[in-house]
Amino acid sequence: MHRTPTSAPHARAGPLAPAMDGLRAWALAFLAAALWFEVLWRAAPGTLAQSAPPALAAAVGLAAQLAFTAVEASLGVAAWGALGFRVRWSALAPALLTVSTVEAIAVAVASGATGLHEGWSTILAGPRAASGAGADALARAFASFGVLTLLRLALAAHAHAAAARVPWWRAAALVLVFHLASRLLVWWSLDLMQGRSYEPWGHVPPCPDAGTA
Amino acid sequence: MSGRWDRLNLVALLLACALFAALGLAWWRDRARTFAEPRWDPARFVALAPDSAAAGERWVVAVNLTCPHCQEHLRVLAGRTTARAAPPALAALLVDQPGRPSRLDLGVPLAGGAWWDSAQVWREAWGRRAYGETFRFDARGRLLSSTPAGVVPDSAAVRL
Repeated sequence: MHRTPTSAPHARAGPLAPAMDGLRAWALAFLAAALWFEVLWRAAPGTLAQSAPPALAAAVGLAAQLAFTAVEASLGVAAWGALGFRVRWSALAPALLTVSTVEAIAVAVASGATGLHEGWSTILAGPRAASGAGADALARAFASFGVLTLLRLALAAHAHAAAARVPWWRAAALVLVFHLASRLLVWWSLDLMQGRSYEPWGHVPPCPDAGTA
Repeated sequence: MSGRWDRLNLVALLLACALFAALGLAWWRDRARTFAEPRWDPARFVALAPDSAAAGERWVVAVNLTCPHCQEHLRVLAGRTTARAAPPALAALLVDQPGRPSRLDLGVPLAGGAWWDSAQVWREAWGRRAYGETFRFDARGRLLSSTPAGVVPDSAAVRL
């Protein structure tokens, strides 16, 4: 049932072309990982991980990002397989990690490292970039939704489409389902865990516009 | 080898679907529960510090001892209400606290006392979760409002 391409795309480029493509994909993925580390390292002092050394916080964050990408690629391969398309994990995973650099930029914008005006930061990186982002679990789950998220989803769809050799819109539908499912998981988890988490859930005063006492 | 990886990927997808369904079901069941409206009844809690409140409003802050931000909220609230002509009786309700604390020092005088929610009334009966939430009760124990940390209860727009 698995569909395969009718013609080898590298037939004219020589036998080494697929290997070179793979090498290039992993090299780009390595650069993406380096960018993630840099962004997380710079953002660490302003986050909840401020009690840990920035390099350690960045390393843990990078490991989490790599694991998330690996699982995302694994789920993508399985989903495409269920739809009858054979996709190689080794082709999809580095492409998704490279695409995730857009999210790394969004993290940098949200952390204030870029020095952008708050309005632009919110447009690019979502409400999480605004000071006093919502305390509601639903709002927090979708707080990262901005222009950069849209761009990342579009590029991820492109990566899926290239790996599965399907039209972009079809890949975009799968990517959108994955994204919405992940946001729902975050929403439900935050909602269920609210109060058991020791992170600052609201903002401690001063709150001059909250009234007078 | 490829078949083994395919199976692994399929297992990952099935696990993800199962997790999604389980979490969604848990969330839906949690949302479908109905909870009682909070009401101040000292008999439901264990007194840890004396209650010297006169008749008037009682503001009860849900405090967890491992949560610094809700304790900070309690201190700030105390600081902002002491100057009032008729300050409310500020009280701390220790929540999600499995055992009775051996000693308690929240750093502020609490006219409304400190109370240990040993029966998980706050979470199980009232359905509350957010530490630092402040409940404003009238002299008869009826709820006037509940507000999140960072808000002065009788000056906020958030009301039940």
